Amino acid sequence: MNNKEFIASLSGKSGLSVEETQRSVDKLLSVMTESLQNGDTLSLSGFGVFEVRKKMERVSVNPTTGKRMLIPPKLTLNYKPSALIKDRINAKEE
Amino acid sequence: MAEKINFSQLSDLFAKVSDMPRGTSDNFVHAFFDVISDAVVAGDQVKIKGFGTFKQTVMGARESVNVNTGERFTIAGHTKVSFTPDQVMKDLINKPFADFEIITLSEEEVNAITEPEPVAEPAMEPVVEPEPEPEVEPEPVAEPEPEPEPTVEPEPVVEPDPEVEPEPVAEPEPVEASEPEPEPEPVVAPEPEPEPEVVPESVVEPEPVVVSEPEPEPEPVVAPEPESETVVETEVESEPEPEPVVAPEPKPEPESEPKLEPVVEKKGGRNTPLKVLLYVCAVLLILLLVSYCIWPLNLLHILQVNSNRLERTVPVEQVEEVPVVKPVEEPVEVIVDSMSESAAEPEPVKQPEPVKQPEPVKQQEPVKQPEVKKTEPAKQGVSTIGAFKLNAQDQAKDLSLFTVADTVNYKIIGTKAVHVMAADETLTLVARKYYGDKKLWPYIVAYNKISDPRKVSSGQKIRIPELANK
Repeated sequence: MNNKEFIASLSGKSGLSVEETQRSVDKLLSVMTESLQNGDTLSLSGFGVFEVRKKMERVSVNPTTGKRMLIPPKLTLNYKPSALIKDRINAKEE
Repeated sequence: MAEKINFSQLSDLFAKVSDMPRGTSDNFVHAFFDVISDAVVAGDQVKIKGFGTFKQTVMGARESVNVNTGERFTIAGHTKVSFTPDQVMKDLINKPFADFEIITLSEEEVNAITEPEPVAEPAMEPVVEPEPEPEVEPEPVAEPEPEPEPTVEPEPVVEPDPEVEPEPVAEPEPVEASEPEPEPEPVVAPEPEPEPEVVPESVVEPEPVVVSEPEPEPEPVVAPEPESETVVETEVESEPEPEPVVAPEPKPEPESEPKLEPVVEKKGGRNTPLKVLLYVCAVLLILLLVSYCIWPLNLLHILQVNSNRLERTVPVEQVEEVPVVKPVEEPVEVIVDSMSESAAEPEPVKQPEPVKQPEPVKQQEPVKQPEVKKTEPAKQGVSTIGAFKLNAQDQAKDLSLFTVADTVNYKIIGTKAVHVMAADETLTLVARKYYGDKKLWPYIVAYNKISDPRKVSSGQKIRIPELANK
């Protein structure tokens, strides 16, 4: 499901037109991004938790060249699925 | 800052931005995540522009070890939901750190990162050194105490300043984090070594006095007992020699420390860049002191030993060699012996305790026993070790096979297969498919000379290299 299909599916569910849906999605994402940038944690029950984590800098070795590189620290967005969604997936498999 | 935002708060924020009524925005937010989770649960991959990709990832069953009981058990394979933020999202999140770049380190820089550690050690040094001092106080050696203390203090003060200042300029956080850990070792190691070296001297001095008394006495058994105190001390002190790590604590001594520390002070204070030289000098000094201390030991023993004790010089030398040679070769043999022959077991047990052999007070009996035991193992060694060396080598190979999970230890010896990339297939998946280890993907990249491993088009033909252990 790519972005287009996702928007179509969402517009069917929300009753908005495709264009409105796309605009709303963009706004929602900007709201989420903004709060994540503030260091907030998005804890969405039934879906999961979005959290920004800091990765420490590290020295890494390129296995093919053997060169050592200093990888700078960075902030990453992590997603931890909720137990509910995990159960749904694994229940479906069984 | 650092708040927890739940659905209703997110809906509120969204309502403000989108000018939707509260109820509608709430529905929309829920619909947004419901569509994602429904599609993911259905096994679909959901790609949202400006956000990222949700999809199922299959985790294969793997073996693990229960930390508490040490039992092995398998973690059943399962499916998990993975989310990969797309580049836009990653950049937005990482904005505060966007200025950092990957730096390729040269050899010198790698050393510089490991060297600075000693600077942070000052905290460690005072802890280690105070211990020996109290011990020294009760003992006759009073002078050394005052000297070592002043010298010790200047070191930490001088070293930390110069080193800390240059490093923080580049990246304060990493330097602090990485330095403290590795550095403590080098700093602590040099200090303990000089001390053990010195220890033999003090040990040696008491020995001649004590030993000379027991020698004239016909009964060696009686002599050691009354002097058991001194004997114990000598034993304890002699132990440190083979074990340099333990040695530092027992006793700092006047002659060696003053020599070493002043040198450290002058060099460290004036020339910070010459720290490498400093360490080299310190190591050389230590080596000289060790050899210097060992000499008198041998000479004293030779003097004491006379006719009967000529044999003893042999064990003394053996003892000294033991720590150097055995750690390297014996572990393998020991394992083999213990596993295969119970007769050979005495060797490992007695050899690790070189302390017993140095005891000069118990003259003939102890001396001969070690020799006998050593000759036996040596003779048996030819037969048993010869027979089991093969096993040892096999085991070593097996172990290496199991433990070499590192991705650096392979070389490419040919082409294993040609793989056609499917849509949505990544090189890590290919690596896991062919090698069972996704970490080996760089070999595929290198072998095919792929410029950007993230951009491999579907249908592209890729040669899978055959890997062999180096």
